[in-house]
Amino acid sequence: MVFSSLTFLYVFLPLCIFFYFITKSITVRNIVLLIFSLVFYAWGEPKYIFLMIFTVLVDYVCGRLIFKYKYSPLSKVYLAVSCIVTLSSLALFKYFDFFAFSLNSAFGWRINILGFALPIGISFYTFQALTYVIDVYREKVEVQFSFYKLLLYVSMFPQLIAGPIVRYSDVDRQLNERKTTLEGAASGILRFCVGLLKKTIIANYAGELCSKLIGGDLSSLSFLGAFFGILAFTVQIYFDFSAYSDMAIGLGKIFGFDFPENFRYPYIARSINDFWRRWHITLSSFFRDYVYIPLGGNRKNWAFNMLLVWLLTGMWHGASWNYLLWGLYYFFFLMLEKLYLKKPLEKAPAVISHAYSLIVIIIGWAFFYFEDMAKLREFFRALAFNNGFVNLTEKTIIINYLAVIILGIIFSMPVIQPFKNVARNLLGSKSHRAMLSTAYVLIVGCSMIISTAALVGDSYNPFLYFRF
Amino acid sequence: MVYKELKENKKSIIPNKLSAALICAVFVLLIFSGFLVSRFDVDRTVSVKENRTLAAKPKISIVTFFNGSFSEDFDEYFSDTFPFRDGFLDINAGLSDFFSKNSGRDDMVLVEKQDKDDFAGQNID
Repeated sequence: MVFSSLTFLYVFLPLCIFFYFITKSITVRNIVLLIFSLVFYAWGEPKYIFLMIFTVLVDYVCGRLIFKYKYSPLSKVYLAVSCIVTLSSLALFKYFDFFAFSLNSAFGWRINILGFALPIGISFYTFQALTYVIDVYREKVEVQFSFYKLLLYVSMFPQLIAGPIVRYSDVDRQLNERKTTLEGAASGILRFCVGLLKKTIIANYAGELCSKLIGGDLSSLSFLGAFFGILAFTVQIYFDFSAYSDMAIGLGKIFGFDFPENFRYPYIARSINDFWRRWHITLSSFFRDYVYIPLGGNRKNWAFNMLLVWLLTGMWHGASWNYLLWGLYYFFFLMLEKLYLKKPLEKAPAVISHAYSLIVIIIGWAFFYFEDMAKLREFFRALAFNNGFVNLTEKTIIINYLAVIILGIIFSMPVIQPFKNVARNLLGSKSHRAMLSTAYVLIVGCSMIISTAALVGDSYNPFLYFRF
Repeated sequence: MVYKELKENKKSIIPNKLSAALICAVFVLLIFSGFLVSRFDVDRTVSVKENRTLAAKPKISIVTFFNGSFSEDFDEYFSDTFPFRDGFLDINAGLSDFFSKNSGRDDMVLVEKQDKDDFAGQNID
């Protein structure tokens, strides 16, 4: 199931909220959430739910064994077992065919392609399960003796399918005690509604524009077509993915959970290092804390560790060579900045550092978007004016979709807070609060109606981060 | 570290309890009424506006749930029989018109005045 669907909004969510809030017992609430989460996952992926439960079972058992043998080298063995089993399921279902195909093409081998469909959310829940066993081993968290609570942590529907990557240490206490308050629920609802709007309107229409410009045949793609095409994708992927995190965090808040932020206005970054502290924050922190630092961080084999982490980051996004290339692309710029550009970027005027970052980011998305290298080449040729500056068809499309591009650009910047400040100064704090309340209620109401209309009329609802 | 800073930022944006109550009330009202109305209204079987038959309520069984057909069929059924579907389609047409300049409707074909005679030589007024 996905959040931006009528079934979720008007069947699943009302029922879940009803059964959750008719009781005050944390245990019953946990069980309600667990049952609904399993239904949520099974709704889209009925066969693979057993894979997820099995993965959690292995990590549960290993967690207890790691704890039991904590003063013996056996604990390391069990840590290895759980990591290998967990990562193997990811490797098998996500990467096996990619490696098999590549080896077959490169060496003429005949490895059988398995043809498994990618289990939804496997890239997220395997990492989350790993944070549990590794942190038990590191004695950072207490072992969880109750299987259903561990399963709840991994499978919780707000963050199961597309993040944020919530570490076990983020929620271990909240599994046993959390408060649901009116304010918390209200801010969760608001967050959720904003996310819904971002997804059903901005992300979807930007996606349509992108697809119309660069989604098909590129042989006559003009410069402007290529530029606006990749710009549309830049808008789409941010609004799509951050919307999902907004909805996840909002839903979590409604049920009393505090999930970590995952995006912090990434497109206002002033350097690529800054960008990666603002984009999919939970992923880069995962790789930092569970791969980079354990390997020695910047103390031992720095360049190698960085390279490995960024290749993994690229690969995590998809089982295809272009994602590896994308990771390598960012590795290059991160190293370039750390070695040579750090001071110049800090001293340069903001315009320069913003422009530099945006150019690198947008071109980066080209590597991300085109899985087919031939298409990538055609795209860059178009950018080099190979087919002229613009053609009539593409110009018409761009003009028709201008509204979503403008909105996308505006709302990828932190415009809300300054607007609120101006309003507060003009109105005085009492009417400012009244205005805020009215605005919030209007946002919730309009967002629900608009999103529902979009969903009813919808046949085009691609979920980008569903490849994960 | 940025990660820890983000977690500690817990200032609430909700100004007071009244607005919290209103926000929750509006949201709950909308999703519950959507649920109840869709649950208890009589399902249409045909859509005049879209000129097709609408999906019927699928039957649930262990088999259909685990091979994915139930959820797919249910999603389609729920969308097809959603309350005020035609009204929402109109809103969506307006949205589509604003954001992409195509109204996304196949039932209307805009024809220039002088083209009418081209249409099989008949007057389609």
